Amino acid sequence: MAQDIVAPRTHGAEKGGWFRSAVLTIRRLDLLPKSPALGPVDYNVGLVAYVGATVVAAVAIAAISVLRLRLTVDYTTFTVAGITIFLMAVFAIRSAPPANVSWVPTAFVHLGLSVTFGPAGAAVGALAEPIGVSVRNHNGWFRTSFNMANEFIANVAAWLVFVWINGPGNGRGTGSALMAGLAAGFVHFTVNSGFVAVVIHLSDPHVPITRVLRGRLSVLPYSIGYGFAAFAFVTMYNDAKTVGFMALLAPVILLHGFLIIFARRVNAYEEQRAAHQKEREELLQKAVEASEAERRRIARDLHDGVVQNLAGMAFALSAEASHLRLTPDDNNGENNLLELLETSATETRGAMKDLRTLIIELAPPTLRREGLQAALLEVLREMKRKGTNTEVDLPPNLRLREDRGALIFRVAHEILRNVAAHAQAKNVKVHLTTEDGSAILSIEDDGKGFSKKDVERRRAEGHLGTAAIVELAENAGGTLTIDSEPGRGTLVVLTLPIE
Amino acid sequence: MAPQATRVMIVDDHPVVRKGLASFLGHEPDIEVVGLADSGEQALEMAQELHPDVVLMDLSMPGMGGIEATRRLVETAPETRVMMLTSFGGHERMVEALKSGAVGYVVKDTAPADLLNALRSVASTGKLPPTAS
Repeated sequence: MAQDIVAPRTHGAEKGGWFRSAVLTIRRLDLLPKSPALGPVDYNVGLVAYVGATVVAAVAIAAISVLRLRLTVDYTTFTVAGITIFLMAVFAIRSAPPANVSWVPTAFVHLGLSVTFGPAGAAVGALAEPIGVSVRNHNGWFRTSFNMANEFIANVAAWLVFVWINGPGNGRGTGSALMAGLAAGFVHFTVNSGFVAVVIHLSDPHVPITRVLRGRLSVLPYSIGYGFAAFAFVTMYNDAKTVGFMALLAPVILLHGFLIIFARRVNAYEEQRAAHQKEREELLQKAVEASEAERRRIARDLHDGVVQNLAGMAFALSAEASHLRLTPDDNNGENNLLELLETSATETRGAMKDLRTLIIELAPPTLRREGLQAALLEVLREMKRKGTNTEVDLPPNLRLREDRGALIFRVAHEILRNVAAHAQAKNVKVHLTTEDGSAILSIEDDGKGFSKKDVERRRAEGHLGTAAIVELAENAGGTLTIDSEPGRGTLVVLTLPIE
Repeated sequence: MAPQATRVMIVDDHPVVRKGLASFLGHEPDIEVVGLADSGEQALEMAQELHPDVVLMDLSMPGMGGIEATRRLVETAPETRVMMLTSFGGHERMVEALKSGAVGYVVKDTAPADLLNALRSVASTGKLPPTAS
């Protein structure tokens, strides 16, 4: 919103709220659409107990570390790495489906800090990242403290595994350090995923733990990257201290920057695609509506013009015929004329009947007023009149949303029109059922069927009817399958969600 | 006393239908076409003066449609019987036509003999003959 961007600038300057204005600057820089905000926390007993226990455990580990260990502290590295992690979290890449790559670069730095500096480094990462995430997503203190505790425990676990395999300090050499790094990366990933899976399950019992873990499996390979990063940071720090650590931080930052650009493009592309899709659907909808309106207009014109004229003519012809009959004459010519008049009147009435059938086919009058069943029966009645056996099976108390009913009818109408025009079928079965929140319409005929080539030929001739209804069905979240072979009839099945 | 001819009024917005129907019915000795109206409004006005026995009423007309005109006609002149004429229509409109007080309906492409039958039956018994539809 324009106001959001302009107003705070003066506001911040007037009050001198530097933090606020910094946050607003960050939001202005926000390159990606925000991920949808998480809803309010559902504080159930299990969740609160679990998060409380995690936080207590993290605090206990921190206390033991401070009391029992000689912590390695490097203020320059901690400051720079902390700010880096914070900024990465603020400018997280959230929108690059399907891979969940959002936290990869921060985890590189986490691992580097943890395995190089032990619990002190682990704490820096565990504090910086949740704060950054909270600035971005407004997570609140509950989520933020859980994130801090969870990250800290995962970091410390990674460090313990690293030290256990590699030994303290320079350890047992390069190969051992690499192995230790890879193991640390894997442990960090596993511990972190486990904590997250449990907390998601507790917040929403409908999400099973296994499903979250399965989702995390897709990003398991990244833990190899964490492992290499851990190994590389330790090695660089051992060789070149602060400068070495910084030197490795640079490519990680670049990687993050690249991912932001990449994700932004993916995002823009997705949006564009969605916009195109929407435009297409609207155009199609309009085309269908226009064609319906046109059909209705033609039907109305036929009804109000031609049909009425024919009716009048038929009566007039009959009138002349009775006039002639009432004034009998032996003249043969008049007998012929009488016959001609009567035949013409009959023919005219026949033409009216044909037109009536055509009008109903063009624009069934009943759908809007009387609903799907009546409209379908109306169409089928016309087919029956033309000598096709029809069998209908519709649920007796069917209640459908108007647009669903209209779509089902449109599909059925189009298919039945095709059957009437091309199939030369003896029998048509129309069957509609609802199950599991879907309506299933099947239309089966024993006509002459068609092959793929026939479809292509008709399409080349400009007939798009079936293609249009397939697309309409799909746009409405349904499916339409047409199964046919020459000589074997046709089965059309429409499945449409109706809730 | 010779039986009186049935006095029929025709209501249809299409002049061709009015004329054709009038000349066709005009040839029947027991039927007298007493008036032609091109709208429901005009039909109500004319019926007040003419007191026809039977009104042949077109179902769909601009302005006051056949159904509304029938409802009012039956109210103001209960002795007049209305037979609805349609060129086609959904089932529901037929039901509506009957509810409005029409004694029956006849499709315009009905064979002329059947139309006459129906008309005579309505005039004498107030009902359609059992076979007509």
